[in-house]
Amino acid sequence: MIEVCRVGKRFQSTTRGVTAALREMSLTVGDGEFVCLVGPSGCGKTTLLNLVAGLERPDDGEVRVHGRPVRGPGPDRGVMFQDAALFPWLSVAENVAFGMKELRVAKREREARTKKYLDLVKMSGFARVWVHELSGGMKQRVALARALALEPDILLMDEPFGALDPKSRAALQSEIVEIWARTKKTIVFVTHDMAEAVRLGSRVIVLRARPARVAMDVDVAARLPQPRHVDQAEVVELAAQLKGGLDETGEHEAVDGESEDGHDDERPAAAAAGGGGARRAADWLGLHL
Amino acid sequence: MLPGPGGVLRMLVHTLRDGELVRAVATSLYRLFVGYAISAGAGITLGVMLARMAWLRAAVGPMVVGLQALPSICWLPLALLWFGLSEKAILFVVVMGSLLSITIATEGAVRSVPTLYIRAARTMGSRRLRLYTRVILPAALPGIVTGLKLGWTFAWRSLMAGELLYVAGGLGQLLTLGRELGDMARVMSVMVVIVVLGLGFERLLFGSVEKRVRERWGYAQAEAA
Repeated sequence: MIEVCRVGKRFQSTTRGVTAALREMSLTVGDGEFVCLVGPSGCGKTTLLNLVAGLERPDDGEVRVHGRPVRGPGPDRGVMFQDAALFPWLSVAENVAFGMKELRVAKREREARTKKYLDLVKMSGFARVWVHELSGGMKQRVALARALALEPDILLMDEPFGALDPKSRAALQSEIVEIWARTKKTIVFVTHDMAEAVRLGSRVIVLRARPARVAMDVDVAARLPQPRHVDQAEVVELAAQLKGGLDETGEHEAVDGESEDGHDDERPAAAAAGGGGARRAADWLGLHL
Repeated sequence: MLPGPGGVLRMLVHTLRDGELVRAVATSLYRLFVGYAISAGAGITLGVMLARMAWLRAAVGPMVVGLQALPSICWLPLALLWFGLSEKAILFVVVMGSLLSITIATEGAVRSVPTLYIRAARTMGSRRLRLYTRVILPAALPGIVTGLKLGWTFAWRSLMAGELLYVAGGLGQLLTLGRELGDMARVMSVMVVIVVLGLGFERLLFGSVEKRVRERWGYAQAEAA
């Protein structure tokens, strides 16, 4: 379980002084959920992911995983970035085994797991291939295998399919849902693509920007079973509704000021913002205000 | 004015026969290898330190850049004052001639290692020393190899300059001997040897290594389809 408790994060910029990427942000992700964090560019979703990953420390508040505060990155939380970040001096198999070597996993076990996870991501024949010989989609598959090889409970993914062509993206989307169903991991997936979020997540959290607040928190699994597809009518419709709700609430930042208890995620922003489109979206989703 | 190729060749054979050339080559190469080994080791270490320690960069950085601009032969008077007319002096010149170019190239290479690699490694549990040996240094290798190649060239040139001017033994001194004897063929034959050795080593040591490293690290130009 991941708990984000009243987290604040500020950044210093030479042009704009101090900006708050996150302020009083609270969020909970239960075990086994596939949560998609969606929002416009710069809304703080990547910062949030980095805090859970331990790559950055919050200025205020705390992030806890399984009850214990996050102090830094670690193999219990696998991370995938938009760039595969594979090490070019190692072969595919050596890349997958990198983390295991760090953890001093025994050679036989390393080899077994490398084979297992390369098979899982459908890159079985590529063990001895060099990174520069792989396509973008292939690199991301290897990056996934590398993260999975450490058998973390939690997988954090920061727009991992953003740089891929549509075909590779669709293929990997299907595969990640399959892998999630099989391994029952907790996945937090950041994207700016609403359709992708609706296609993938059991739960979609829509963020709005500056500072990041939870605009909507939608249980998609309840209304749309997997397998889904990006072009599926229901997916497209839900994505449009969520986008509509976001566009409306985005304008009413000033109205939705500090809440008393700081727990924004329990109260859809539509309630405070009063935007017509947002209310329609909330009604459609069956959210009771 | 110029001896023909025949004359040069005859001189080469002559100096080879009486062992003079072999002794000179051995002396020069010994100095080169020892000096280069020292400057490679010290240069890479210093380069990594400069890349990762901001305070060191602030303290020593400008000096490094400034000294690198000093033609290596200018170190010879200092070397002679410190070490006298000895092997240490010539080694000092070889080291100082190449150390800083290796340092600067290494620093640049380490600083250019994509932060993403370091982040990815940290999420897999890499920390401190292992982060350096398993991620940062391998990632910086192409730049380091380029620096090492440059350092090699400088080392060879510093050595020849030093041997030419003051130091006993070696190929540079054979050149001086040729001049003193007014023997053009001897001078040119030694020049040929110097060029062949210089090029040969560069190709052998760095040619295929650099190419393979650049290819694997993904820097090679894509072949036209």
